[in-house]
Amino acid sequence: MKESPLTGHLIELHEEISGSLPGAQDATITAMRQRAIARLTEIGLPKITNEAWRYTNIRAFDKVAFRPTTESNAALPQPDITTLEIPSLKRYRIVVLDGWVSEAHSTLDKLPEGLEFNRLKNVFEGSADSETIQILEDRTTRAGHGFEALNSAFSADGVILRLQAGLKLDKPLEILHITQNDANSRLANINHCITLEKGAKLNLIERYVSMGETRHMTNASIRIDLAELAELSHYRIQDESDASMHIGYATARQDSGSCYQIFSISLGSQLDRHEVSQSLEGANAHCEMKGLYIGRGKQHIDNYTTVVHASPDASSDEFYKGILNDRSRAVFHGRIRVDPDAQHTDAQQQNRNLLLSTDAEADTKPQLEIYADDVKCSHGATVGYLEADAIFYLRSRGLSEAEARTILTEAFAAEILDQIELAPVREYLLELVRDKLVGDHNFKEAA
Amino acid sequence: MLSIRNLKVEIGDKKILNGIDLSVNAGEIHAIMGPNGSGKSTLANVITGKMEEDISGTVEYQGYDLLELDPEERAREGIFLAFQHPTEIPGVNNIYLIKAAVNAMRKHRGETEVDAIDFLKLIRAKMKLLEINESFLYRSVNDGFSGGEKKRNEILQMLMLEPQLALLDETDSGLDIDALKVVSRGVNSLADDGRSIIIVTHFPRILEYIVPDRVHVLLNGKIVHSGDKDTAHDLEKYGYTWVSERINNPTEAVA
Repeated sequence: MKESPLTGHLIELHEEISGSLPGAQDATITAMRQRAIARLTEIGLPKITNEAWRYTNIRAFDKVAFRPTTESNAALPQPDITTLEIPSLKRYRIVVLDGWVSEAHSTLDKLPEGLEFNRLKNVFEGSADSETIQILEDRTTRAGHGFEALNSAFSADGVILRLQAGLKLDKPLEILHITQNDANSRLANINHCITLEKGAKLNLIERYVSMGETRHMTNASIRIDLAELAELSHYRIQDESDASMHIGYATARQDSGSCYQIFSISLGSQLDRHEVSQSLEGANAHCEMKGLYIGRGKQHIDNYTTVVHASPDASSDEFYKGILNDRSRAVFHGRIRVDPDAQHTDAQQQNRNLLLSTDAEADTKPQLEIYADDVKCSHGATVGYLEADAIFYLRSRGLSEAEARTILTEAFAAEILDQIELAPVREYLLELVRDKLVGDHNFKEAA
Repeated sequence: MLSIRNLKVEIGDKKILNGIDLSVNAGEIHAIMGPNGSGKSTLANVITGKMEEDISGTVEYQGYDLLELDPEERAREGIFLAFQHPTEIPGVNNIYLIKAAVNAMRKHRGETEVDAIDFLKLIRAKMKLLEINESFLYRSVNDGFSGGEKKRNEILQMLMLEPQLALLDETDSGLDIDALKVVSRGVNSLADDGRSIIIVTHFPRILEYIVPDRVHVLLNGKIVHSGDKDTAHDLEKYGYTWVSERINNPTEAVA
């Protein structure tokens, strides 16, 4: 099959710059990257003929000459990032600029004891950690789509964190990804590995923002490993440039009694594909996956989620909501697989879409594969408009139609956001969502 | 206050309101009684603006051609409907809605937003009158409320918005006698020389607690009889058939 122009461009680019990636002098690492580019050559970037990408077409980005930047280029502008802060949030912070961890912007010296931090770049240059390299290698081998192979092929930096057994972080840890304003066509490949040992507890904020309205690409992988009784609350906030492409995939593995909660919030990008792949491998593990996406203009948002119940007595609760205005489009795919041994599984899934415009569209697809007989599984999906009765009720109390719509739409979003326990994050998101919605023409008061 | 002339609502060839004439002066309490399907709710919907099409005739309210106003403009000019079936609005908490509504009215009158402390004081006083628990404020509007709670919530909103013309659409239905007394107490606390109240009901009982100046009987989309408060008693005694017979034999004296 003929490769797409973008795939072709990236393969050529790899040839040009792979020699300057961190660890290029190390034969093991180079071989790993070479196998990854071979895999990309073999499968290409996803096309709509690929069932898992049926509704998501990346062709609009075919002609963009995406290119990663070097670490020194990324560090050069020394951007003032104070305006990007979440107000009144006390946190540890690691900043990633254009795909490179910026130690100057991070609070690395303040990280508490028991929290091991490393950069993927250091792993490559020191080649001390073969486990991390093996992870990238494994991902390449079973890459579900070309972006994963692409990520391994260009892998350069990322955050490697390990919380030692029993460590409960006193503050949330934020990984803030910034694409800078001169970053047209910039490609950031990001690889994070987060490991929580037994009983460790963390609030993790993984946030993506752009400083300018540029056409850049973020290709971000986060791999999460929760040992027994570990607890992770993961707030993933994507608010990048409306012209950008964002591809993200979170892979999480849970041991028994662990608890994983993810809020996947998609606000920016022209095209956003976010995958969450959850594997409940220990008994009594629990995961909650909450999603909120806001589509405006011609935005395209694709949430592709998989929950595998591989052990008994585990539960998963998935609830994604979307608000779609203008000509935006959302895709939700929710796959739940319950293995034969996973008796007493409790798996819930819901996807609700609110259309604010008749040109907006939502495609929602549950996929349940249940191989155990004593389980509780349910799913539901809705796509609809605001209720006329509710709008009238509010108007009859003196609120304008526009105000009524805004209130009802915010209430729809609040059902997800109100579940966020970190108050500064919740308030920040409520405000951000309000701004996105009020900025839309449908919400402006008629003159 | 309100003057309705030859109001008709026809949907297709179905006549729902068939030439209503009704005048309500400031300070008056009117009751509109009629069996199910007589057009009571349609009349309320026309006045509040829920129904905007298939209407002929005129509705004048405080000098406005009411039919020309949007529902929110009517509300801001002092019209309030206590809904028969209040809408549930998950995710919007009650106090937020009531405050937004109060501020919408104030803005319309050119006043500043209500002071948060004053607002809380006032709403607590009204809640006490209506025997409503504080937690009520922080629940989603009508979401999961019992029938009685919904009705009290409507009256609470009414007391906070202090309308010039309040319409109560079957506010009594589904209320037990104690709740009916409480709700009536709330409604009576609003009544004064400047305001008008229209009670739409098919049971006379509420009119024992909220005493009307006029009672109108609505049958098949038409007011067939108007009388004083004793009309309600007659209706209780003789039923709606008595009124229809009276129309058919207008000269016959009532026993």
